[in-house]
Amino acid sequence: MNMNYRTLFLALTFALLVLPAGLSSAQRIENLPGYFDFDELERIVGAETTLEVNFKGAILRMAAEAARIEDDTLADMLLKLKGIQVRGYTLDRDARKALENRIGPLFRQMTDGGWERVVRVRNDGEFVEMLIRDTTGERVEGLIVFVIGGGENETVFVNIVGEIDPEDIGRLGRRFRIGALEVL
Amino acid sequence: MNWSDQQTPDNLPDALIEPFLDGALTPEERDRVLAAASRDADFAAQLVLARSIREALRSMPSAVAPADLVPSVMGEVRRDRWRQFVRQLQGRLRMLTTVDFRPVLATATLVAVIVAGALLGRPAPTVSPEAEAALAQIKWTLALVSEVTERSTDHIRRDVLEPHVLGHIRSAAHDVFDDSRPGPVVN
Repeated sequence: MNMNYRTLFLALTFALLVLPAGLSSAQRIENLPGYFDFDELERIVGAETTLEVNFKGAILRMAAEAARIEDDTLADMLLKLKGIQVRGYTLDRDARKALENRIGPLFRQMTDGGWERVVRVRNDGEFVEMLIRDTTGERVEGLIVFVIGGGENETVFVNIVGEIDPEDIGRLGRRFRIGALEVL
Repeated sequence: MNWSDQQTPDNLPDALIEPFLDGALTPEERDRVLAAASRDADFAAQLVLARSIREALRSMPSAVAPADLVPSVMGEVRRDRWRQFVRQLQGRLRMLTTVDFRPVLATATLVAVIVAGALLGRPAPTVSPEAEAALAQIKWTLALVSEVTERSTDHIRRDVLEPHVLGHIRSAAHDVFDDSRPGPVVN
């Protein structure tokens, strides 16, 4: 009987120690369905990243609070997001062509894994893919945009993680467009 | 003796005398008053006295009130009400400053001072440079996504809908509605 109590006590202690760690790992952005791991993509690109943006957690909330001074809609939208990742590359024409040919299997792998392709453009040296992730059928939980444009600095990949309203992104994005894309 | 305490014969109250003189009684009440006056000489004398007082008052020259009378009376009324309010306030303040209420008053004052200080001394919201930079990059990212979506929509419209869908519809519609085509020959 004493042995049983001791076993129970040890099990409870173990559970108390392990459970919080498990909960915190469940909330990590890497475990969210809308997260995309850029590691494999970087391997496929095979070039040095020239633009890297990683916003999550505190910095995203700070940005949301900063946005609230001028724009409540943007602030509310940012508070629903869990992360924003951007990668940019400087690629010459041949490298861009090669990348377009190599990246196909990655998209198939993604669509097999639950990502849904909503935009696909192959036109005149322009390559665009947009995929969304919606595991609940109620809201978009992740969005990825792959752009391999016609210029050297126009290869950009974006992953937005969290509750996303595409209308908000379109509306807000249009507002910020003047001047913002000049760096692209 | 108070006039209102007087009772006329048949228990008619004095209060009927004025309405009788004004002609405001019902025919039955008027008959009762006249019957009482015919029976009771005192009551008849009261009626005569009341009528003569009324006529004397009517015959007196009427004085015109000065133009500032009403405003000055109303001003006095307002001043009186204000003084009354101040007295009530003083009374309540005196109640608050009694020993029992002093701790409450001190706490309320302290809270008011703290709140006022917080409101007046609150610095304007500041944004850290990191947050500003992050926000700028987020805006850039949103603009990029928006631009890509819109450009893709343009492509779909131009490269897919126009040549493969709308073009066919227009062509089919043209075939159906074009009047220049020769119609069926009717003999």
